[in-house]
Amino acid sequence: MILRLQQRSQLEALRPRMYRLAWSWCHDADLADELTQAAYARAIPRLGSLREEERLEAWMCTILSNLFRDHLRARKPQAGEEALDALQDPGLSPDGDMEEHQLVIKVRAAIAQLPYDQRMVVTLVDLMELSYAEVAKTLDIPAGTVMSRLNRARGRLREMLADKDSARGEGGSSPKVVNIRSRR
Amino acid sequence: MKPRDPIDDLDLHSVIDGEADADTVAEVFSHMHEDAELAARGCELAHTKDLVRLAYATVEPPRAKPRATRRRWWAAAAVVVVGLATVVAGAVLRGWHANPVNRSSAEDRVVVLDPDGSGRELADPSRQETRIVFQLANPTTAKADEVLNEIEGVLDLYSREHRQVRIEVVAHGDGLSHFRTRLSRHADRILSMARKYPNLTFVACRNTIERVNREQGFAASILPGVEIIESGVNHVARRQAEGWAYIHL
Repeated sequence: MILRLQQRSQLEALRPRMYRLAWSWCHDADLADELTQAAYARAIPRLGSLREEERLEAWMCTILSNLFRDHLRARKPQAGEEALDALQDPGLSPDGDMEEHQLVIKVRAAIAQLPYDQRMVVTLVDLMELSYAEVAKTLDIPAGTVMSRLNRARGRLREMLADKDSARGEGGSSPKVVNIRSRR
Repeated sequence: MKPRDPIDDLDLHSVIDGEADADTVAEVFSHMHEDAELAARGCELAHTKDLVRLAYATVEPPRAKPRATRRRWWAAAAVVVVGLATVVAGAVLRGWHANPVNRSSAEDRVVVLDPDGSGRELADPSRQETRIVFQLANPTTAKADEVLNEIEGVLDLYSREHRQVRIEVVAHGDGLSHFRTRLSRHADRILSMARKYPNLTFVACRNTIERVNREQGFAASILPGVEIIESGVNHVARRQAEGWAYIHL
């Protein structure tokens, strides 16, 4: 009983990070919230099945990624179609550092251009700090695929962030402005 | 994970992501020391990782926001009242108590980040000085042990070889607990390392400290000798842009 209470408490402490991860995948505050809620609804009754050697973070990421992939299968949104407004939305105060604000928007826009399989790998490694083995298990892919997707994702991000200033002047690579929720 | 020869981006990723073992890290670093292009690519990749973290650092669940706003006035008042009481009581009882945003916490070791300003210049291989910033965002004791062991290893190696190295350890997010007086299980070791190595600086993120203060309702006490900077993530990103090697274990 005490163990279960501890797990519940640890699970709740993870909620902001799980929401952040969901948001980084879909760039949609409502959808991220729905995914996080659904992941918790699925996780809580199954806490007892969590094996001792399994990390709670990795276990929750598996549940969240399964839900997100179900969503992708059902809705078929294309990478890069996130609403530009959404990229600017949460946590960004206009009173803050303008240069940092612009940088954050640029990076989010670049991540929104990545295919979902690369985006999920890079965010699981960078935001959730999962090991390559944990990402492989979470996404049910070989470890070599994790590394190759990570390599492609970071390489692409490097290129996009390096080009961004020149591309903007040429009417370049802003994401298409389509709200994926409107497609549901 | 053993590096292939020559070192490629997959090796760099494995070092950046803490997947590589100590021997591999040393080997990759050794190659980076010899090969400026490889070093630059490693820095760029590490910088990319940090930008991803920066891009989502402020995203919070929507339901948490209004609650934080409603509570702001009394939470702020509580922080002020309890903080003042803590500082006064601490000063009386122990002669010292750190206010997390008060630089007097570093009284017994005056730490000046980058005293000559050279850290802001781009890395110059001809200067033969290696600059490394370690990030500590993981709250586990094992991870802190690993980071401190690596740092001591690097400092001792450079000392033996009479080579110059400067190291900063930036704690933010959940990693701040290692620099908190009441929570850290490494307080003695951190203080001892700070005294032993003048080229080592421990740095804590003020944004995290202020968040912790708001959440717990009283002022977090930070170890003496730890320098406070505005944003840990920004600081790491800036160091990378300045050519520092970045290690996230």
